[in-house]
Amino acid sequence: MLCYSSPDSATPRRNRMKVFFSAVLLVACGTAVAQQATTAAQAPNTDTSYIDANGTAHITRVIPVPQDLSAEAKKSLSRPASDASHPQTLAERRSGTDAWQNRAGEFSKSLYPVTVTESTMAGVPVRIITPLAGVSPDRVLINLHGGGFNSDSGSLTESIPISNLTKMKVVAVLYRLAPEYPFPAGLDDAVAVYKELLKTYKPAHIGIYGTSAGGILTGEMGVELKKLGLPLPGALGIFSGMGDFTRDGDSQAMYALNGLSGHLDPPQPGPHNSDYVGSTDPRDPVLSPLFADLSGMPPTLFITSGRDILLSGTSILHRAFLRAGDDTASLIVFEGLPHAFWNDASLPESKEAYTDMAHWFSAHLAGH
Amino acid sequence: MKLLLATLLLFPLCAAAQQGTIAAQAPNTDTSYIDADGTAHITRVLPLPQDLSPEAKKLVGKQVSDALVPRPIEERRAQTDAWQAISAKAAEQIYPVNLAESTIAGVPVRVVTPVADMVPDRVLINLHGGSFNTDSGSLNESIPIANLTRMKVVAVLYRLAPEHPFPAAVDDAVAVYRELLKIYKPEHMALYGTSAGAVMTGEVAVKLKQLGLPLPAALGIFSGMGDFTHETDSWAMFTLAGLAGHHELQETGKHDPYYVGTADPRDPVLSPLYADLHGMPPTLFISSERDALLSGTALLHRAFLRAGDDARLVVFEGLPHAFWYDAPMPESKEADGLMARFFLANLKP
Repeated sequence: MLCYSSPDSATPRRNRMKVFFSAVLLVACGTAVAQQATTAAQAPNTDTSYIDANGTAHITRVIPVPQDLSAEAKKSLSRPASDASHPQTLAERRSGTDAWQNRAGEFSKSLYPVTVTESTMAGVPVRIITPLAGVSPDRVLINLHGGGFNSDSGSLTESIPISNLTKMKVVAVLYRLAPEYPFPAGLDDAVAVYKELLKTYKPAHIGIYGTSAGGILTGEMGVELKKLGLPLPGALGIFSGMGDFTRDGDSQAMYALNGLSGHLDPPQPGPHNSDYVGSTDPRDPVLSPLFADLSGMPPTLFITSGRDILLSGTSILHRAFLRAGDDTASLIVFEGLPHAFWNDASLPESKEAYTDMAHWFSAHLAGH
Repeated sequence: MKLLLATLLLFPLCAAAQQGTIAAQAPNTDTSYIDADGTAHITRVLPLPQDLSPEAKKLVGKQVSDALVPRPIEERRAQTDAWQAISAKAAEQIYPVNLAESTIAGVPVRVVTPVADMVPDRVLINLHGGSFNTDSGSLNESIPIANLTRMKVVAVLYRLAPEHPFPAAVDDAVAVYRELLKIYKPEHMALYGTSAGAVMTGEVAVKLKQLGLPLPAALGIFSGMGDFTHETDSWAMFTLAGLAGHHELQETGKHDPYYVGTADPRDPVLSPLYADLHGMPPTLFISSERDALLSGTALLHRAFLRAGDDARLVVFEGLPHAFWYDAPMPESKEADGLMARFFLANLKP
């Protein structure tokens, strides 16, 4: 039996934003001690630092809203949020995420008009997102959505703006979810869809991308395709991901799912997300691409943000690509924003991120 | 920039001496409170990042008091000079080079050359760090790069603040660049620096464009920023030593008066974020996750991208500002390797 931390319930839309990456939030119910919300009187008003004998930093900080952000992003970061933990069942989490994703998807579609249909490909359920007009006839993008491997927080919000901006068809894979289906079930579904699309499209004309859990799956997919000896796609997009299930990065100790707001579960030593990892060795090079030979990966764009729980994971994997000689691997870090902020289509910063993503695929799938 | 400008170090009377935090006072839980202004009041407990090398863990895990230790500028300069002399020796053991002192266009410079097989007709110009008021990098930043690229590095010993505010240092760097243009083709030159020198690299590039001079083939902005009008998120979070040591509460609307002087903080040369950055040469940006200038570096990188430039960013996990000054650390070798590879790729014949 598992339970799932969830943020406070004061701001429903914002709450749903917090469920993109729940891997680190998966906790056994017995250890999820309900923490009382910190009050104004308890909150620190000075900056202090104590480094203990283990090198652990114990700090207090008072951090204003970053001035470089748009008015919309400042407002979003300024929302009061309790730091008490709110355990949630998996069923609650999925239904809440689905409801949020449908609303956010509709909103995204109002800004970036597209057609959305449901289908299956190689037996795997998919969403097909197509631009209203001028669709690129021989290019296709595969989206692997976020949602902590156990829910769908992005098959609409991650694909609608990109389809609209690139004029390319996006196939969003509704892969099998953990904990019912641990690794490599979700990955196998994605590979099956890719193989099917290879019958119609040249590999150089296919791009694969995802956010959060989907960003992780994108790296896993690159390694798995190489291992299978299949032709690699023309470009990858790893948008707030990571490539190492053996341990947590520094940013997981600093930032909660919603940046500096809300509840933060301290990182635990050892491998994480046993629901997704299952019985696989956490150092398996497909599960954790940081341990793979990454030479020859397609041009890959990495995007993260200053208050992203996966800032470390994303930047560590980017450096691994560079060390493998993948000189085109590129990183963009957005100031002051939390994990996967681009799922909120109303932010000007999200528009900039979509434009960066779309530009990447348009530039790298342009060959003949 | 308080880091770069060391305002409080110059004026110790401005700040009340804070006692160092002791173990009993240090928080042991992660908490967050967002006040009515949106300001986050947080406590955090951050273990040593597991991905770091043992050497880097030792650096990051060093026990440092957070009490304020004011230092007058003379003391600061003497300490920085003494420290750089020692750290440069360590760098030279790994990266042997020849060192010479000279002047170019009347500006004092260090000329750092590889001991053998120097790539002909190429030159790199280094603008050192040190908060605009000291020299913390004319050796540390140039020794590994001259060795790894086999190119000559000219490190400009530009005039320092507060005696010489903006644009004195930029003028010195431009004078050296102009003089070198008489010998080298611009496509065979690059400009780079760390911290204050990274800030200046962006400033000099904008100034060269403004002057209509040919731009160099590449820029390296290694933990910098391009906006003197206000502080950033990482500035509110990190000290020069990451999470260790004294940190001043963030005050909005502050900037370094010693370097800025009487210039408008939005001057596009002083603050390249407000400049037309179209047509900048290929630029490599490097920062790290516990870097007070992570935000500044990432913001300027995005501004380059928005202007359509070829701009690359690399962020090292868990490390503090300008960690590559510690040359023997494995992460520093990786960073120095990236810098060298970038210049070699962009200064091809």
